[in-house]
Amino acid sequence: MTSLLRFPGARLVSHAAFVIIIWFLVMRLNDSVDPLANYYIALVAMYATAMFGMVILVGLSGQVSLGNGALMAVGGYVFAVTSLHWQTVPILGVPWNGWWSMVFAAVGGIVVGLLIGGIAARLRGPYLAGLTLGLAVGVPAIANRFPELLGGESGLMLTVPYPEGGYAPVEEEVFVDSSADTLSGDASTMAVPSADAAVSPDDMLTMDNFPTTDASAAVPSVDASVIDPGATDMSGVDLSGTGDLIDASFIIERWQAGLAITVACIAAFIALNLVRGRQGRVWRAVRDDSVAAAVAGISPAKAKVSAFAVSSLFAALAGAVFAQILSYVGPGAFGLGLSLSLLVGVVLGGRSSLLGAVIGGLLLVWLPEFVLSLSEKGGWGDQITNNAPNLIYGLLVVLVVLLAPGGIVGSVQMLIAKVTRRAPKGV
Amino acid sequence: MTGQLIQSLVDALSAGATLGLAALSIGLVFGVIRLANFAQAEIITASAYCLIFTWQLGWFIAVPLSMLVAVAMSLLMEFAVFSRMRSANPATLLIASFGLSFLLQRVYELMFSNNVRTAPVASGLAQTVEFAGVRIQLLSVATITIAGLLLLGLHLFLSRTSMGLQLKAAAADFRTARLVGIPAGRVIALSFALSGILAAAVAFVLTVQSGAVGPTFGVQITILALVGAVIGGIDKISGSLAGGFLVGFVTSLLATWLPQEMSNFKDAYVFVLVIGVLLFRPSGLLIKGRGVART
Repeated sequence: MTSLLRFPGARLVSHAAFVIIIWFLVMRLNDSVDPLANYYIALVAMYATAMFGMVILVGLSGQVSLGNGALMAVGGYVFAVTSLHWQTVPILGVPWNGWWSMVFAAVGGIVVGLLIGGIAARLRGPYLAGLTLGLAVGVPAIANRFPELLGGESGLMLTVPYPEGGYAPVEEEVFVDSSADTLSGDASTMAVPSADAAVSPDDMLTMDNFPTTDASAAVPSVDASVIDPGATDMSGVDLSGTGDLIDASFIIERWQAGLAITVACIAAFIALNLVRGRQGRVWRAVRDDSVAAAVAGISPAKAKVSAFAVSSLFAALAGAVFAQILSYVGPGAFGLGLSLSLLVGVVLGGRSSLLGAVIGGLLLVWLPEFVLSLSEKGGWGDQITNNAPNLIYGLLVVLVVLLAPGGIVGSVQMLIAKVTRRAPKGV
Repeated sequence: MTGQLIQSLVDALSAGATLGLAALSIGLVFGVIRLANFAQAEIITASAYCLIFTWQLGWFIAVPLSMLVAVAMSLLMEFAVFSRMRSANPATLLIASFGLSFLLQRVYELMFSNNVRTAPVASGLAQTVEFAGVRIQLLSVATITIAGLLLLGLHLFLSRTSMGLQLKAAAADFRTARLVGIPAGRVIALSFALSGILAAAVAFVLTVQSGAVGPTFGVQITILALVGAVIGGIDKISGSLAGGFLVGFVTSLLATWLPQEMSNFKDAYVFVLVIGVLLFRPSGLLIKGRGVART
């Protein structure tokens, strides 16, 4: 393919074309499905964005991170705080909008990634795991330190900047009448899996908030319908300017999914160019043998820090998207469960391939729903139904690590290599 | 005032001792096969469940049985999962232990439901005694005593018996130990068994403290123990112990000394502690040397 196109920047162009085609196709798909499917697409795209970063960090540069959920929290909180408090862009003076918040979230992600990466580059194996574990546990807890700004344990509700109408910051605590009827197929109907699990600070350390579909359960003391942006405009509560800007044909889930897809495609474009270019070779060289890489003139430290920064950028973007999907940020939504699910997804999908990240995202969203529907059909009872998704995850991780360490993509590549008798590529 | 000071110091010592034991149980296994076992949490939980369910039969049955359960679980993990991935790198081992941890948490939930199970385990230890004007929890004293006895026993075992010396040698340098003829499989199994005994001790202390056990009972202490082991230097057995102790001691003191509104985010302080230590000692407090080493 690329051999046909031999001109400077050919790879850039072919990557761009590839990503644009994918974007177009997925957007078409997104427009033709119902809001529930839109919601799932949004989650898959959000996970894929974060896991592109995991592929680069864990797969390519060989640094296992248990803390990327905390880096997502950075993006989510930067998005929430800037969109709640800033009406104009500093210095430029132009009116604030959602994309500016995304840009600031990305910058925040890179800055935090550089700081953490600078420390992480000196660490190996278990020490890196310990640091990132500390990150996963400690960073969401920072929100409790600044309850006025970051909302403490109960988090921040935010108004998502929908395209129609202006961008009105809303008071932090919007308690919508819980009797307000919500749209069909909204987040509150999807929160079934373990919404019964009461969320306490300790639960941040457990896997109770593992599938994102019950992220709404992570909001303590707020009725689930509040999280659903659809509930906001049905409630009749005056939201200072946001009251009537959403017309009936506007489907929030579809808009959210479009946003998530667009961000994922931008991330994919950046990731493709990095992974398949010089930087990708540098990362792999350092991962495979840092001494040999250093002898060849590569700085292992720089390579590791840059991998962390890029991974953190993607995590922050995903976090900002996540905040908009939930219309909420809070310590519970970005707990250790999220960090670990990113690792699980990338291990299952295939940790050294960007395609593996997408497959991992699909698995994280689809698998729990699939298992739930199976168990509902089979009438397995509540006890099994609630536990089955995580049970399957655990089993799958152990089996994949034991039997197919390359994940799904790695195994398929090995299979193809066996059939065609060539060396597996892209490892 | 001095009474309160001594009281909070004793509590901190006991918290440190508990976390130190937990970190040591992780460090023992790590030293031999480079596995930072996240599923140690589920060993602790299993042992705690056993205590809760069998306590009415009398402590002389419940305590040995809970130890047996912990050792059996630990060995089972080794034989069923970790022994099949000897050539895997530490990152893969860690991920496998995560998978095992999720799996077992859900198995517990299926078996014993999400609700906590309660029993008055060693309720006599929950009371406080007044000693020279100082009110001290009996449990704190018991914890420190248990930890001290276990450490003494472990030290004697590791330095006086042939098996112990073999384990110590394997933990210091597994490859060289194998070269000089130390039986690998037996030493690994031994490390898992000892780790199980330590986990049972941790489970006992925690169960007496809370009296209630749920499916994710052991998770929080295991996370803190992993972080602690890393702070101290997981490459050395003493490093894990010291690091775990430090984290437990410091967080306990912070929880009592800081005002209420400052102490409800002590997890953030743990993070600051990790960053602070690893910034200056990338291989942990007790280990000198270069940061970037062989992986």
